[in-house]
Amino acid sequence: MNTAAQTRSWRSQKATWGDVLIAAALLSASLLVLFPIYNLLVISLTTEVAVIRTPVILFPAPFSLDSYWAVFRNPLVMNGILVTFLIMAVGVPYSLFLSTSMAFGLTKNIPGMKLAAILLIVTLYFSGGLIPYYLLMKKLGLINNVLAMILPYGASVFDIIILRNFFLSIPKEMEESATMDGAGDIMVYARILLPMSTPILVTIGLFIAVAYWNEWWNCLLFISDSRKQSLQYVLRSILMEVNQLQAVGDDTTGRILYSEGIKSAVVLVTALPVVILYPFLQKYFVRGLSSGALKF
Amino acid sequence: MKSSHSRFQTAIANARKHYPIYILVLPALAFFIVFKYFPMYGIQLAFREFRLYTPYHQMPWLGLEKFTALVAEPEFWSAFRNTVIISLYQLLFGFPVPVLLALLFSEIRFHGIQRFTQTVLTFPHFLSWVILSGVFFNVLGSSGFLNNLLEVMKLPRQNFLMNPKTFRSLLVLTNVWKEAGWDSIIYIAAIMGVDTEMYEAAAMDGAGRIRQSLHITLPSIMGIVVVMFILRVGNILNYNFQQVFMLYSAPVYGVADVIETYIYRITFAKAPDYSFSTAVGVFKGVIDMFLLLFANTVAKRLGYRGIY
Amino acid sequence: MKRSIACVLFLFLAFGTGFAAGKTETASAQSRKVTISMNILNTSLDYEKDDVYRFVKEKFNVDFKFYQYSSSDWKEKVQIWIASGDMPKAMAWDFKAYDMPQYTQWVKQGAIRALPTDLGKYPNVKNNILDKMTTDDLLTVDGKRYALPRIRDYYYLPGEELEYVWEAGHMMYRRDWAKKLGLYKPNDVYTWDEAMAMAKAFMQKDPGNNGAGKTIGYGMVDWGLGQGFAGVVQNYPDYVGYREGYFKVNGKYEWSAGQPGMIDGIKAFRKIADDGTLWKDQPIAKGNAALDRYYAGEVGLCMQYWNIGRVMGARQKMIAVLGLNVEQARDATALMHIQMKNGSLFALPVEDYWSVLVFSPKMDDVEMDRFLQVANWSASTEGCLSVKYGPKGKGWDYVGNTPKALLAVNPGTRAFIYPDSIVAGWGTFLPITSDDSILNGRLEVARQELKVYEDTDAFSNLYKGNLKGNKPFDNYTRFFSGPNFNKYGNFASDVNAKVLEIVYGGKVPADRIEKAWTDWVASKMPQVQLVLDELNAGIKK
Repeated sequence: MNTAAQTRSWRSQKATWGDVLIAAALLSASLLVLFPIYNLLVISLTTEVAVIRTPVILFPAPFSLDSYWAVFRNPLVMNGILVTFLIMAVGVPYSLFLSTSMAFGLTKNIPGMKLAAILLIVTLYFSGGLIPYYLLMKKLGLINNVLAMILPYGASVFDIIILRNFFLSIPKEMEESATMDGAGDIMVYARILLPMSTPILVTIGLFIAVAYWNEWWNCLLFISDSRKQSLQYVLRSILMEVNQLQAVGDDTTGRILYSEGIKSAVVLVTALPVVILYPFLQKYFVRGLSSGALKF
Repeated sequence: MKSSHSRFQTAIANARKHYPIYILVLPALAFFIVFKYFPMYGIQLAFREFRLYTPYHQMPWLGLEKFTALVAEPEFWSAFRNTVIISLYQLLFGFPVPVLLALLFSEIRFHGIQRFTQTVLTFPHFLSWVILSGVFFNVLGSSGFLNNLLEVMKLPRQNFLMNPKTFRSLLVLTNVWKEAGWDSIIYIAAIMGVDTEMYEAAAMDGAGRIRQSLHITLPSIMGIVVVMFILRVGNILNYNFQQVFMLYSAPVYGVADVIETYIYRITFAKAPDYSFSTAVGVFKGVIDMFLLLFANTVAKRLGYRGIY
Repeated sequence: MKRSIACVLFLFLAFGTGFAAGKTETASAQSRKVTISMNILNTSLDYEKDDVYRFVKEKFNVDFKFYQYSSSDWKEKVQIWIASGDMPKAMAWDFKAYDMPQYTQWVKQGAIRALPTDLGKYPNVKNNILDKMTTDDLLTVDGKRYALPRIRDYYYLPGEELEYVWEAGHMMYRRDWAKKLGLYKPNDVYTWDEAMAMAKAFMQKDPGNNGAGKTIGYGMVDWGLGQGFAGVVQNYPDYVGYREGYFKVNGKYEWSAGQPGMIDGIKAFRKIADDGTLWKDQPIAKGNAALDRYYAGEVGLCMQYWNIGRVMGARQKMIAVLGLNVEQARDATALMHIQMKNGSLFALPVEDYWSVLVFSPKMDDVEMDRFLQVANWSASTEGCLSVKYGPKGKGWDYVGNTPKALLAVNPGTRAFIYPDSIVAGWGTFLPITSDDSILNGRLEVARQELKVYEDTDAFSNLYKGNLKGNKPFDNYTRFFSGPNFNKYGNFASDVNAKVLEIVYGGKVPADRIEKAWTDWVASKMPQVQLVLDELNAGIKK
């Protein structure tokens, strides 16, 4: 993230004691976070016997990839990755569009928008329940359809509220000058608002992407075809299967699988991709800086 | 001032002028109407007795029976109280941490360290409480890592997770551990947009870095901070079921049982009472929404942009 | 046991060793291809590759369609399927006795269909499953069966006895430590007080050299704490009633929580919690944490639902973790008998079923017949074996009169190696299954090397000879249905919560337990009485 540090070019580039202090604070926080995660990593890379001996194990001895093997041997894991990528590819633009368009509308003081805002907030706290939801999806023909894992996500009221807030902080002059040049509302939305909001769009886009990445609930409810299962759903099934294993402990194929190891492997497989991607997204947090004053 | 007639006319004129906006928001509105409002009839289950194979409007009417049953339960109020207390702790101590983190991230000059720590601190968000309960058990249990450390330092062993005095704080601390990094992302995005000219001006006036942070960065992102705060207030009654369920135990039920865990316990081993669980949902919803609107009004009075 | 039934239903349908069930079928009905949908745990496996699956499909002219569920969402999915009218033709349901009200409601509302009254066409189903089970009768409503219970078995092959008595919450203990401290008694029979004293001695004297304060006297699996601290249960017969909720005293039903034995039980529980005998971390330990500590050699007594497979697993793990030889491992994984005050050995019978199959009203008679044909086949000896090992001649065969598996064996673990043409994990929803530990490749290991069968047989035999003091299952109250009963159940969770509060809450001094409890019981009595009245009114004879 290329922030204040670089853009405040007039400042001296030398690191000060303050920087060192901050660095130390952040690094210790990271250590606090890293330690248990490292523990999980080690558990996923070793055998049950080792873990029983030392629950807070620090070194994977003996080393074993059996836990990961248990996860990846299932062809549906790779299939699930494809399905999840598909729903992300379709879902992220879909949800981004719905959220940003609605947020933009809410920034305008035109009749109906206040009402719409209230209606949206109501949905945050009241819902019809599982059975009406299921019946609705059935009516819409979305049973066993991949779209069942995309469409219901739509726009999140939370995201809309945040986006609206950011949009409101873009100075009116931008919009006004565009309008004077003859741009209609839609142009303002597409050509001014969106490009200027890159940091927040990337952020919300990340939230949305993670939501689709984590999708398993709609899969559970509506998908009966194993080829259409999302990754998280498959991983959960693996975890359930393994929990049943625990009682006897051994797998009949000769490898010793144990639930702690597989749980750790699953968790890391789930979390890792997003965490790896995140630094690459950080560079987008710089672009779109305007030269005008933005007060949030 | 303006007569209502002319205000009405202005409104219509406004609407005409901005008609493309109505078109723009149509898809989103359609989404909410279809996916949120069409199933909304299910809410009446809070007032009716669930019957299989019957249309909702034909199920027997119960009125407020479920609600009165709910509020008559002292255990429910105990859970209610716990939920509010824990959420308030969370708001007080847990809410500022991501903001502080975002400030630190934006201030640090060592890029490598900044990227590294930011990525690491985001990680725990993706770990579920199911697996984290095992992790924390290993760390905080009576023969866990922390206690081993205490022993080495010749201090007495503690049972952190079973001590009603420390449990609530543990809930907040572990939650911060898990979510602070992820929650800071939104604030970082906000800080990104702060105009650098203001810093230059302040520096020329002789302000040091800390003052710049406090007087420029923080006020500049106050808008989003307030919005996030309002949203959190609206969630006070929804304290995280997963976390409490995974970490709590008999010795601390008294202080840690929250509404969701209470519901879970009483519906276990009986036929599911959909009417009751819907009633609880409505009850919470009403209070949550009221809190949200209240917080929003307060924020607006204080001069901030609210959520709508 | 459950885990080996992961996809039994599927498996079950997949096999067809030619049981000639089709004889009485008209040619046209049999020739119609039937698609049976059902829910299974793991739709991710590619059953098309399985020999027996293909064989069954062909033999019985069926096709299968699967609905996915997992154990964590099973209850919800069942509810949604029924409520939305979308249920699979054959639906597996994790039925527990307390689900009886729901069951009767569904029967009355026509949500599930009945099985044919005459099951003569399916003799294996009738003889090997239904006639052996008491549950089957309990699930009959107005003379008709609406569910097919899945038989629970451990030594099960058709024709063999059901041996479930000893799978109750039992103690496993370190006999070697007991011997070292001079506390060993022959046949591993101890009274509750002796057992707890032993646990305390283990904790204090550390015969395992674990280091001061590191030995755990008595630990249990996590549900053991909430479900009645089974160790205590073993000593106080009235306390057993707590699990049941209600039992007969002088011909009338009373609330078990109100009986005097309950207070004794709570006091005993409180004692072991207070003096450190019971693992300090027990309330927060999740899952099998206590077991893991046991395998690491840190626990003296461990309570779990032990069965052959688990005992074997424990033995193997301790050998691996602690480097013991077989004899040492046997001593380290000895099964303890608890002798009750009336002299008999405690045993809590286990239900004879695990989950049931119910059927959609949209399933027609031809489909039902086909389904039962396949069920019938799987309930035969050959069916059971084929489900587990593969087609006869390939996966298993008779050697003389006993079945033997023909699969290759992994030299290291001695487990069978399943070829790709056997898709593992056949489901649970077959009415019959055979347990891994009976017929899997490690049978030889278990029997010969680890001597598991010797020990468990001895254990089981001693129990069966000493059961006179035990209270049997009260199926009447378990399978009861009535308005107040359905509303309040057996108050189990309330009782549970109150007991745990008294023991761990830190608010009730030890000498005030009795008063605290009797006060609480009195406060609950109005509601309890409503249920008792219903139960007593319904007693026939």
